[in-house]
Amino acid sequence: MSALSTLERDGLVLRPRQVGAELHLEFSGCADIEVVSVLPEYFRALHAEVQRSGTNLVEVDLHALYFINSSCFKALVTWIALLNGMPPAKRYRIRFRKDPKLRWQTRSFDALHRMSMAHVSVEDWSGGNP
Amino acid sequence: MIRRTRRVGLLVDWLEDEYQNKVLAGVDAEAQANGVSLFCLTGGVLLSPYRFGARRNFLYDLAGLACVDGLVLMSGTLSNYVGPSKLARYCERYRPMPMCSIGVALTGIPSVLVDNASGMRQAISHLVEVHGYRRIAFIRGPGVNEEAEERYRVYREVLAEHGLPFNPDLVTLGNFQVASGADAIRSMLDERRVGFDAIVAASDSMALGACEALVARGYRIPQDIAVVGFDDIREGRFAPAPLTTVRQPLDRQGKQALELVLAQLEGEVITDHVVLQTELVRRRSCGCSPHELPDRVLPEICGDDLTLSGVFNEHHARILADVTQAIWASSPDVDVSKGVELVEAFRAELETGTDAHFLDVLELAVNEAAETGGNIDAWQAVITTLRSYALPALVNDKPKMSKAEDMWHEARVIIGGAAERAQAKKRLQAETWSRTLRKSGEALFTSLDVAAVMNTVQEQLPKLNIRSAYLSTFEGGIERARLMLAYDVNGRGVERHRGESFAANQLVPSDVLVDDVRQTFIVEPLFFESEQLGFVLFEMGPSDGVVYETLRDQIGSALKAALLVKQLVEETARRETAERDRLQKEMEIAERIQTSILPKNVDVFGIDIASVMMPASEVGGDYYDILPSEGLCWFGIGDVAGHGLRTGLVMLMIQSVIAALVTQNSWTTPKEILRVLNSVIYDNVRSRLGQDEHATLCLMRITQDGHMLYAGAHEDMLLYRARSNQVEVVPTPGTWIAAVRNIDAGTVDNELRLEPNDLLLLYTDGVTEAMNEQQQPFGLDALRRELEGVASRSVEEIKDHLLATVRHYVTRQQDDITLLVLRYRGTAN
Repeated sequence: MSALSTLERDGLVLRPRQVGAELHLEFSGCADIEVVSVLPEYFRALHAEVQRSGTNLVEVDLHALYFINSSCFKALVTWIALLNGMPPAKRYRIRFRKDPKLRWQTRSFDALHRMSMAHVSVEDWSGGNP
Repeated sequence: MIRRTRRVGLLVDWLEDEYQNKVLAGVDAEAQANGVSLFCLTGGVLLSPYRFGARRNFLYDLAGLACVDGLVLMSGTLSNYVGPSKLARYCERYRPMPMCSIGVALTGIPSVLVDNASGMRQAISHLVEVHGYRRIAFIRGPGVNEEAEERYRVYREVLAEHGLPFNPDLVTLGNFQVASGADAIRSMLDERRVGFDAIVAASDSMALGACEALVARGYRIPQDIAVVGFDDIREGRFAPAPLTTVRQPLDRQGKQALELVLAQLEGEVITDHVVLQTELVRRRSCGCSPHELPDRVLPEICGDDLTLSGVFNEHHARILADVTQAIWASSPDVDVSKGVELVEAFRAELETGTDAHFLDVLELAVNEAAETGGNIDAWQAVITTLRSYALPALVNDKPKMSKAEDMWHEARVIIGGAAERAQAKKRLQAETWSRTLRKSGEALFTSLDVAAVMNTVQEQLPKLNIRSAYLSTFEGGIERARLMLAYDVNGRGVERHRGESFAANQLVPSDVLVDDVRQTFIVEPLFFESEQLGFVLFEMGPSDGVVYETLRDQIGSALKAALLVKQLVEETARRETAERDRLQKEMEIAERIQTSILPKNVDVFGIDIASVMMPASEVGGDYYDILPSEGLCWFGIGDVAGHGLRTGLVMLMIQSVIAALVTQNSWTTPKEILRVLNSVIYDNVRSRLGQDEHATLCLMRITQDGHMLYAGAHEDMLLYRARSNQVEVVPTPGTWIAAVRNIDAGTVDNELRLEPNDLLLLYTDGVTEAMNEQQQPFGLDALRRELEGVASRSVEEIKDHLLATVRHYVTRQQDDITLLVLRYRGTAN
C-alpha cells in the first residue's frame, strides 16, 4: 500500500502501488490542459513519498497513457530535475515503460532519459505488470 | 397616511425579560380589544455604552408615520443611559405622532407612571417593623433612571424614619439585569466585606440575581438573609423562596398607555400623567410564612353557640376581603369574584348538605390562575383563610367538621395537583421551544447562502407558531431595504413581493400587509457586531419574547455568514475575472512577442519557404526562426512548455541567443549552439527567474549543397523524398533546453542529405495533438498522409492545405500551431 493516493481527474488516472522497495505508477487516460494544475503537486508528493519510504525504483507504466500535452509533460521534467538535484545517495531510479506503438511516447520519454541517463531509463511495455 | 386599521408602535429595548413581556401583553390585549395593529420595535437601550450595545438603536430610526400612527414608549427600558430629558428630546423626532411614555415622565408627552414610593415604603417598613431587620442593603437601578432613583430615595427615607443609620457600603448600583444583582452581592460580601440581614433590589431581576449569588455562597433565604424585589415578575413567584416584591401593574400600564395613544388619535388632548398604584406582595423571601394569613389580625370568633352561618354573616365582608387578598396575591390576573363564589359554595355545601360544587368552583379558579401563569400554590392561602373563619363554628358540630375537613383536604389536593401540572406544562413548553430553537439554530448555522437562510427561516416559523414573517436587508444605508423573505401561513401570495426594494421606514413594501386585518408584529433588528444588516417582522405567536430574540440572534449570525460567503464568492469571481483579464493581457503581450520576432519575407537561395504560426488563446511558446547566412541557412523550431508571458520571454531569450550565436559564427554546429544556448537559458530560467520552463528545440543548418546538420529534441520531422515520392519520419533525438544544466551527453549532431525538390515539414505539437470532438489527436500519420497528397504543390499551397486541414479537424485550438515547409531546390537553382 502506498501512502500516495490515486489521482483521478478529467480523464486522467494515476494509480500508485507500492511493491516492496518499488513504487509502481500506472498512468492511464489523457493528460490535457484540465489537469495541468494538479500534476506538479502530485509529482512533488510522489518524490517526497519515495524519499520517505526508501523506495529505490519508480516504475511508470505508460502503456495506457493515450496523450500528454507539453504543459503536463513539464511536471515530469520538473520531477526529473528534482531527482537530479538530490545528493547522489538519495537518488532513485525511474523506469518508464512506454508503448512502442505510440511514437510520441518514444520521442518524449527518450528526452526525459537524456535528462538523467544514469537514473532514468525508458523501456518498451510488453504487457502485464512486472 | 389613512389606514383602515390603525397601527401603533411600541418602542422597547428587548423582550428577554418578563417586565417588557408583561407590558407588551397589556398593550397587545388593548390593541386586540380596539382592532389596532401593533408593531413592537425592539431597538435596545438608547446609546448603551456596552460593546455594540447601541447597535440595535437603528430600529428606532424606522419608527414614524410611514409605518405607524402613534407610539407607546417603554421609556423605563430605553432611557437607562440617557435619562428622561435626553429621551424626551430624542422623541421629538416622532412628532406630531401621538405618544405615551410608560414608567418615565417625559416633558410634553402623556405618561403612565406607577407610584414607586408607596410600594417601596411598604416593603422596607415591612422588613423593619414586622421582621425587625436593621441592616438592610439596597441594589439601585441605573443612576439616570427616575423610577430607580425614586425607589432608592424612599429606601433612605424609611431608614431615617426608623432611626436606622444609612451605610453607603450597603448600597450598590445595578442595571435592572439579573447579573447586576449577583455583582452587588459579590461587591458587598467579597470586596467591601459588609454584613447585612436583608437586601432590597430596585427590580425583581436584580433580586433574583442576588438570591442566586447568596445561595451559591451557602446563605439561606430568608433564614440568613431576606430578599425583596420590585415589579412582581412571574419568575419571582417560582423562586425556591418565592420572592416578596412590590407589585406594579405591568400589563395595566401597557393597556393604559395604548388607551392614551388611541384617545389622542381620536383628537383628545391629554396633558396629565396617569399614576397607577403599587402594592407589597408578601411571600417567603422576606421571612413571612407560606400560606400565612393576610397581614391583618383575625377578629376574635368565640362563643358556645357559634354557627357557620352566624360567623359567615357576621364577618362576611372581612372574609371576602381576606379571600380576595389571598387570590390577588396568587395572581393579579384572576377574576377575584371567583373568591366570592368560592366562599358562597363552601358555606352552602356545609349548611345545606347539598352539593354546591365548591370543589368545581375551586378547580375552575385554579385553572384560570394556571392559564394566566399565576402562582397556583398561593390558593392554599385561600383555603387557610376559609378554614380559619369556619373552624371555631365547627368544633361542636362533628359531622360538619368532618365534611369540612374532607372538603379542605380535597381542595388542597386539587391545588397541589394543578400546581404540579402547571409546572410540568411550563417545563414542557420551555423544553419544546428550546428544542425547536436549537434545531432552527443548527439548521440556520449550516445554511451558507442567503437563499438557504431564508428557506430555513421559513421552515422554522410554523414550528414556532409564527404565522407570518417578513425579513428585509438594507441596501447601502438604512434608508432602503429589500424584502428577502415574505411568509404567511395563509398564503395570500405574499412571496411575490420577495426581492422588492422599499423605503425601510415602511417596514414592509406597500400592499404586503392586509390593511383591514389587525395583527401584532415583533420587529427585531438584524445585526452582527456593529454591522446593521436589516430587520425582521414576526407576527406574534408565542408570548415569550425570548423566542423572537433567539431567532433574531440566529438569523443575524446566519445571515452574516451567508453574506460573507456571498462576498467571498463575489470577491473570488472578481479576482478570477481580474486574473483572467491579466492573463488575457499577458497572452496578448506574449502573442505580440511571439509573432513580432518571426522572420518576415526571408529569401533564401535554393530553398522555398512557407511558414505560419497561429498562437492559441491560452497556450503559447512556439518558436521558429530562419537565419540565412552566406552559403547556408539556419532553421530552428521549438516549443517552450507552458503558457503566458513567461513562456513568451523564454522563447524570446532562445531566439536572441540563437540569432547572436549564428551571427557570430554561422558555420558552427547545431550541437555547439544548443550547448551554449542551454547553459544560458538554464541559468536564466532556473537560477535568475526561479522558474521551471523548458523547451523542445531542433536546430538545423542546411548548406547550399543540401547537406543538413541537425540536433536537439523536438517533434519528428517529415521528409518528403521527391525521388521516391515517399514521406520519411526523421526523429530528433536529444535533450530539451533548460531542463538540465548540461546537455552534452544527450545531444548529438545528426546528418541528412537533401536532394533537389525534397520537402521538409517542420511543425509543433499544436498540429499533431490538435483534438477533434472525440478528443482524438490529429496525429503524425494523418499529417504524413496529407503531406504525401499535396507534396507536388508549391510550399505556400502545402502550408495552406495542411493548416486548413488541421483547423477543420480541431474543435477548439488549444495550442499554438506552427508549420514550416521547406523545399530544397538544389544548387542548380
